[in-house]
Amino acid sequence: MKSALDASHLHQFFHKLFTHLDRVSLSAPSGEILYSKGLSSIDHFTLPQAGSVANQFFNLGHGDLAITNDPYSGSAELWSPTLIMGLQLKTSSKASRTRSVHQSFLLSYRKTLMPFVSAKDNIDSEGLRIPPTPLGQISKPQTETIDAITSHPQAPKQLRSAIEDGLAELEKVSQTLPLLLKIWEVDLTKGTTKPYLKASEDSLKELIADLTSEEKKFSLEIEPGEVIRLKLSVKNDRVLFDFLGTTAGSRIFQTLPVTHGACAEALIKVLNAKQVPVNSGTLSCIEVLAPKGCLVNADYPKPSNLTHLDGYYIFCDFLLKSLQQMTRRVQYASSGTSRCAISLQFSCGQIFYDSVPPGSGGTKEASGANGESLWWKRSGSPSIESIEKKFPLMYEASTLRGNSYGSGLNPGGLGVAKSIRLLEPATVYWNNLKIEKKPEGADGGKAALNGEILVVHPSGEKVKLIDQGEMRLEKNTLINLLGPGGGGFSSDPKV
Amino acid sequence: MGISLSPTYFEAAVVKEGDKSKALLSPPEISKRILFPHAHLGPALKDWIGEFKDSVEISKVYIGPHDPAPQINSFFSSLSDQQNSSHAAFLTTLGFESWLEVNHHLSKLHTLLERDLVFGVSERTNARGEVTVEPSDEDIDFLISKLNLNGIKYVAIGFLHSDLNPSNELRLKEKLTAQGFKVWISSEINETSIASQITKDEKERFLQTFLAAQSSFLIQDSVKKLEEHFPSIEFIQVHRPFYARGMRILKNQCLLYAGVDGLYLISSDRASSIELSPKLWAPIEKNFFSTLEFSTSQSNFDSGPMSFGRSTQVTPFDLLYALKLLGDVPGVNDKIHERSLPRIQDVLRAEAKPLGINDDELSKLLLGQLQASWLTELIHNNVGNEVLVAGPLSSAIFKLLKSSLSPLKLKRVENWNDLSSLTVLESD
Repeated sequence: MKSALDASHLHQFFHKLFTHLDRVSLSAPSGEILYSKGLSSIDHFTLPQAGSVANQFFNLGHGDLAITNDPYSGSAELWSPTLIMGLQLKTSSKASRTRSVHQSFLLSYRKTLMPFVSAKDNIDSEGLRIPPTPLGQISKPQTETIDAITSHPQAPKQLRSAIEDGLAELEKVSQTLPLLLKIWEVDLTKGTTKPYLKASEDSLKELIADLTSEEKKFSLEIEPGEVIRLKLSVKNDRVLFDFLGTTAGSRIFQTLPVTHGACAEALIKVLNAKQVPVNSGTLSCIEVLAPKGCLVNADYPKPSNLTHLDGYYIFCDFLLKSLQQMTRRVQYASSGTSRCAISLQFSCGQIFYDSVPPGSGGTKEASGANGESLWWKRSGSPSIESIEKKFPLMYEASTLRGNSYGSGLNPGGLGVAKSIRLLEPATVYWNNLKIEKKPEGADGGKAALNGEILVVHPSGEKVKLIDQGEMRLEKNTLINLLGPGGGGFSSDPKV
Repeated sequence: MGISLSPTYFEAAVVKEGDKSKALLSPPEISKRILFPHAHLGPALKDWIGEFKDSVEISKVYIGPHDPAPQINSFFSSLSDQQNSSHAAFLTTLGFESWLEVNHHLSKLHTLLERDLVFGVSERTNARGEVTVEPSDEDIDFLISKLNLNGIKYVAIGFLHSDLNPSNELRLKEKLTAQGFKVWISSEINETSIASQITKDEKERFLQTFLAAQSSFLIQDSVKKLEEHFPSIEFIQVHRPFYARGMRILKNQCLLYAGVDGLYLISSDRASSIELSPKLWAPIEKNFFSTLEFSTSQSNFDSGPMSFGRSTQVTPFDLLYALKLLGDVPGVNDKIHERSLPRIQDVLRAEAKPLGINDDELSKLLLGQLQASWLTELIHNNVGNEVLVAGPLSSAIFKLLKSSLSPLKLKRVENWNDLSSLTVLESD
């Protein structure tokens, strides 16, 4: 039991150490993940992976910095730059009374910027792609490199401040870490981290033992000819996600670390496990096989925009529904999978982005949450007053979308609906999947409404924005973003 | 006098008028404090005041919630359950009826915000502060009939851009007040609240306005009872935590207020205080590794410490008590149930056994986690050069945080009960 107590203590230390950062990981140069946390499972693997790839190129010493936003170098969305810093800690194990040694770690921290919705045929047309790039030392960052990156015509406007804020946070962590190690009386030697990872693995394996060992097959056609095939099996308390037979993508192109993270998150959800540490121990309970070039293991230079908007939600929902067939522990109805994301470009050059959160599906235990995705931690909507002061638009509504939920004993959550009136002409960009299937109910619960984007021109003509594209809009056009609801769980005896 | 309502206790303090700026570092000439269960507020307060009535005349009593995050205040929930009538209503710009709920997770706290009592009003002010739609008389009359139909008397109004131009809010307030409603408007919330900083956008402004109406609605019975006991005293409801108001906190200083139900970090540059986690009343629970830790969940219902005869789970407060760290806390020690110590020890013993350790070891382990967790939060929050520890549990918390490897310069404010931490006089 001592190993569990020590592991619990170390996990609490990591949790507290990073409590103020939302997307961060600490890993060893060997690739061993000690801690990873994010806004979604996309971050589970991509954060440490971005660190590993940067370290392969630059062998990051203490305080050395690098930056990347390239999904094909381990990062995630193009609009979220990852900063990586090498750390060297003087560690000595109290238990073994060994001499102190210097141990190396990689700290990866991701900042989230405003997406730009686009439908391009390769990633380099979607926005500025930053391959792993050295940024100097935390004590003296290379301002020339930062200037060069942030002055690139494709660079988002907020990139400079995001980098500066990120570097300040990394500096703070590097300064407080040695002190906090003392306060918590922990060390990060192999003698401590190895049992921690083993205890993490053992605890998850105990839960996995509840899954059926019977092999099961599933498939999902995203768009005609774009099919995910999945074979699920459990061997030696490890879950194998075998995507053999999955086609190449036509619009969804997901990198392997993103796929791996989604598999881990869906498994955690279906096991109903609380506070699962994301580290090499727990992640070793999952094996993912995906042929190179298929839509869940995409290659450069495939575009990534749609994957990080709607594709990822659809994939996670599919994984959850599939895994539910392996256990009766938790049962979910489907959650809304479309964000109904748009970008607006005004003639003055200002770029605006908005989307709507979906409702989540009802479960055996509870109703679905309103305007809350199962797969993305909500950080709150921006203030309407601030947006209206900054951009030439006016919100006519931002509210829960009545009747978007699927009914049931435990009904699904409501999606959010927004109506935006343009006060100046603008070009709207959108990129959606042609999903005909509504968010399904489960165990007799009803399906929810799908997401929709509707444009009402000043003439009164209504146009539904489907698939992908861009359109010039006049002043006074109304754009309605109608978020999908969540499916209901179990039939309602009153109905 | 200030009365702070917390989940289990009323906390009252008296300060002499005119001593408003000397609160923390120079104790006022007369100041007293008491803690007692809210079930006996009226009689207990009367007895207490009786002790010094010859030397002090109480002229005003400010009363409000203690918790800085009242939307998750279990006290509100419990009061709400006791009320048979409806809640306060929230009136907002038409089309934004769910804005509060979507932004503040209030859907999970349906005891506070009833969706059926949020009404949209056809009105609008644009981002330049120009009124583009005024609420019509017909709409207002219809609204009044809906409020009456629902038995509503307490109303909060939050309109978009009312910070730039409050005329629509003021017009509706005037009409509703004339009809006997008690009304709070978001454009005035920064003036009426005892907040140290102005709330910046509509999300916070609307929330504070609604909570002001709701808290006033919920404590109305308590206030009525107090008014019966003290007919000559004026009772004024406030809706922001005010325990640190008026305390003199220097630029490089922070105040750690060790209250009975929480540890609150307060500094001059923050709009609101931060409650340290784990909370003082957080129950222990099993974690992923099947060991134990104090819950860090924000939404947990805190039923209170075992020491007060509540709950069946040990809380940090109970641990401090069981380890004899609590010390002599006037107004608290006499509220602790005699039989609670063996019960706490039994629970710790039962929880320690499956872990292969004894209850002493478990207690030390949990105490170590608390100490490290709270210190880490202080360090993360850039507490500056000096942390002043004040409040009823300051002795215990000071010892706990001081005895570690803390790099922080901690200074305990002695004789906390001589200090007017409820310096409500300043609001005048």
